[in-house]
Amino acid sequence: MSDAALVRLVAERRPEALAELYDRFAPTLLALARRVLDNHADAEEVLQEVFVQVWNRGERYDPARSSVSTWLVLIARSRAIDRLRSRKVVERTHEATAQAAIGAMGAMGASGVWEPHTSPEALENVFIHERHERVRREMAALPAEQRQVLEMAFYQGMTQSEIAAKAGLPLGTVKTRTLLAMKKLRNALRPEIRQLL
Amino acid sequence: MSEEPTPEDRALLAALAALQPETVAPPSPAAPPSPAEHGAQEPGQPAPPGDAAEAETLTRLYHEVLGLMPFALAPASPPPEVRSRLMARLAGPELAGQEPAAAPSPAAAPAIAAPATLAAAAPSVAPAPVAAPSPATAAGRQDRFAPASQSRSASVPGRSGAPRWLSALAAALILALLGTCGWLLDDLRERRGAIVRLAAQRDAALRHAGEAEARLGRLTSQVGSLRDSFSVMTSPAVEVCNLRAATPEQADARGMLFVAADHQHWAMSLRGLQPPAGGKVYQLWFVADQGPVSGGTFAAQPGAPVELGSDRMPAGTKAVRITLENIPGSPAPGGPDVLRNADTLHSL
Repeated sequence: MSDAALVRLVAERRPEALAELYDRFAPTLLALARRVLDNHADAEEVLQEVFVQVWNRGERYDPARSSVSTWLVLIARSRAIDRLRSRKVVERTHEATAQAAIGAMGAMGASGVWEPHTSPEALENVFIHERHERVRREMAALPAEQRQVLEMAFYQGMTQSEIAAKAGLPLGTVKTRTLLAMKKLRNALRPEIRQLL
Repeated sequence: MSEEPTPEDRALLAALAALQPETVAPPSPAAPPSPAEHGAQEPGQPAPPGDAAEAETLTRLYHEVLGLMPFALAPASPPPEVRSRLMARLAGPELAGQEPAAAPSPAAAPAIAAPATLAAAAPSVAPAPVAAPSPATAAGRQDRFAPASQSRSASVPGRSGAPRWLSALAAALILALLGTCGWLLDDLRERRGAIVRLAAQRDAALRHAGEAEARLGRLTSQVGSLRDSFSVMTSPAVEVCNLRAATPEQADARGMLFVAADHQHWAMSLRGLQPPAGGKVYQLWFVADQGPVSGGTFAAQPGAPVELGSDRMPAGTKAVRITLENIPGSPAPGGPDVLRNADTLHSL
């Protein structure tokens, strides 16, 4: 059953549909929340909030505006960043996350692949697993400086001006790197986007 | 960036800007907020309708690119209790007591501890209803990714503005539809091209496989023949007989005949034979008491040896001849001798 069909069933208050949606996307959303928050307990809370929101607002999902996957991801990201800010430790966490990102980039080495923290067997959906593989590969293929600005914007909720200030780069450079990274990803991930639309 | 941003750049920046809560423009009272409106257009600079549709499509694409980003992270399996807590929360009075957004189905009973299977649920899939916001969401913050229906319900203009608003909306929808159709057609063309390319690759692969199979068959046959010849040549008490050129035109021609002790199995290796011209063929003759008996016809390739062999030889064979015949399969030697045995065959 497609993701959109599941959301429609959720809108009809079908818990089994929400459970299926959870099984498909929870590992990705939890990884996202952990990356933003750097805290397992908070990330699990965010994960639960996301699905409660989906349960309450499933009827408002509009397939013309985004795929279910992107809808869920951006809800989770928004929730996680809200929580990050509410902890009033934004700067400290940004430092830690930036260090972790830089460390992770260094740890990528020649392979350019993130070391998994959990077993991929946890994923029940083979398509999502393949999507992970492909996106991971394409992200790793980006030049480190382009990937860095994109990740700072996405995972830390930073504006381009904030990124420029933090990285000590001209704003134009940040914009250029962001645009280049996004265009490369758009081209490289075209098959995945087709599947989503 | 000193250059003027392209429409694609603007669409891309709009998708990125939508990630920033503080830069998100409030929904327009006339239309639901589209991704392109989230920072894509400078205030006071309305985009032409065609550009707007294109920008919307591009923004949507980049929106999806952003949505894919977390898939680069290693997936993290949540502890089972997180799922249990969630399902219990849904079944509890706080959430389960809410009015369903659409007509409730039998499976929507409030107290479901464990989710049922979805196998029977597929046929009941219905279009997403446009419903009023639930009390919980009305009290909560405005979700930036909350879909258009929410904004539409909140942005119905007065009666006097309706026709204009409707016209603009219709035009925008048509343009968006056209843009999507164009994109789909482009996608279709790409897919058709890919199918044609793949079909050509498949045909070429099948052709190569057929050729390889035929080559393998020939090689297998040659290996079998060589194995038989080797078996005869190395058999005990094998008799060896040299063949020499019988005509000055083929002075380089030579050969060896190996006859096994059973006087039936034989092998012949020939070198230096010129390819026969004008439709002629070489023919092997065993000369026995009753006269020449044909051993078969064969051709020769430039510089390539000819290997012959069989498990039958006429009784009483005393000599062998190879002639060049005009007619393939002649009943008796008619052409000139090319090779003949130089040694006497004693005991055949």
